[in-house]
Amino acid sequence: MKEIKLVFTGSMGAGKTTAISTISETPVINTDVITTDEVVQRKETTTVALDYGELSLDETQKLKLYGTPGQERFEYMWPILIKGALGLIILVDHASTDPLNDLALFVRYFKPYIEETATVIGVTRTDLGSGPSMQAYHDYLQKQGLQLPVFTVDARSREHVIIMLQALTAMVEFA
Amino acid sequence: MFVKKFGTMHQPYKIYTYAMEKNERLFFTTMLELAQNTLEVSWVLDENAPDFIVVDVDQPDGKAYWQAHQAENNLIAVAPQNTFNAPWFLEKPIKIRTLADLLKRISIESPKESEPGLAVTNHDISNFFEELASDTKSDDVFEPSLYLSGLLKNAQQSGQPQRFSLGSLAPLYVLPEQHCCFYKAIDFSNLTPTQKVFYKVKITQIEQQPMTAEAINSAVQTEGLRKYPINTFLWASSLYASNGRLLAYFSLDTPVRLKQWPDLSLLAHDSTHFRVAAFMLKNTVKLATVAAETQVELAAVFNFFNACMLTQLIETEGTDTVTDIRVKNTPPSHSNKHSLFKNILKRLTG
Repeated sequence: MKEIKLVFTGSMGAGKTTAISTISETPVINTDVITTDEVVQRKETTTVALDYGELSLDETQKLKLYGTPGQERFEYMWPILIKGALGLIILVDHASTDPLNDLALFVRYFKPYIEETATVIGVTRTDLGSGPSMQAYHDYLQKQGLQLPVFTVDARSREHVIIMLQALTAMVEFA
Repeated sequence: MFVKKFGTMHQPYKIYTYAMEKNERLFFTTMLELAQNTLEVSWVLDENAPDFIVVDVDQPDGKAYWQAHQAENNLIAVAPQNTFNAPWFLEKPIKIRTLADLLKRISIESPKESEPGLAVTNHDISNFFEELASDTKSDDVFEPSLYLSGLLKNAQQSGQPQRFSLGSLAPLYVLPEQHCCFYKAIDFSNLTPTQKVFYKVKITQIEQQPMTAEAINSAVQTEGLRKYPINTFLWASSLYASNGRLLAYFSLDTPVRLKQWPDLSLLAHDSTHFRVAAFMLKNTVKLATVAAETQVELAAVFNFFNACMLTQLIETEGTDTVTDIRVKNTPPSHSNKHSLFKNILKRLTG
């Protein structure tokens, strides 16, 4: 069976595990552990290796859904997961202390992949806190020479995950 | 058609005047007869048992009558200005169109009891609203100032908090200084035909009411409304009121480019918009080329373009910057990836 890979990355607590679970036909396997460091107040558990879900497309094709660990200290995992990916979804927690900096971290790291892999940005938890305007995310990306879709998303919404996939599909068609 | 049925299935509305001077009453009677030609529901003068009373609140008697009976909800205030904030108001001097619009609105908001066996269904109401919005088809170009989009732009420019409403549909509250609107919870990706009518009708159908920010905040609390960026409603109005027509004063020969992706998770959209957006972001071309290359109907491209233009997502360029589409060849790897993504979407959307 041919395997295809879609990667969800982004800051801790942005909803990567949740987003994967909205479209995975199998329960998401993850390696969440109790948080013990300075981020304990933001999230009780965090992913230290990866999330994994899957979706059968037909009898010969299976989509593998990977979520990277959100914390920077686990970045050694990121190149392993992104290699050969069909698309990349970067989720940013709008309610974090510095969401633009979070975006910058992932864009910087994944930039070589973004240039060859269709990528979309999903900004989550916009109803909480008073983060930057949505335009600020676009402005940052344009300064980096990138014109990526930036969508306000609820990671729990299957419809929103599908919207991100619709954008990736169109980007690939007109790349 | 429902509108004709609507007129025949109801008794005529009875209307009369109070405290109007003789000449004013004669003038009103003439206006009513003329307005009647544009209405599907009958309105007749009846002094004995009027359903609605047009009160000249400019007159002392009328003012006193208004203050004593305004709670009865069957009064129409007539005056040069709506100083009483009357829900049903007719501006002096009375104009046929204004009167017709008001009577049409009353017949929607306060329908008379149906005859037995002819209950109005949601489908009928939806058709009726569609009929209300259908006059957009008669114009050749999309003039945003004639629709909700124009009202929102005006509100943004004036900074005046306002309430916009149409018939029995939920009202929209606008707080321009905070760049936001308040509305009931709404899913822009699944608007019903009735909900879409709010964005399609001309402003003569929409009631505008200036409010204070405090009054709006109070309404938000009591009605449990949600906060939205003004652009979500500006976008929806432009998209639906366009009705396949290009923005007025815009030349089809102008090459255009999309500056950035619209936030389609918040905005009203259909599946073609992703393709049009992806193409327009990469290419500076005329709209006819967009339609040809994306294989999306030109009318749908106009709707999307107008919405992008009104929300300032479009850059217009000189003809020397036009992208040469002919030199572009899609690599096989992209076709393969596109095919895979389409399979994923097909699997997820059934």
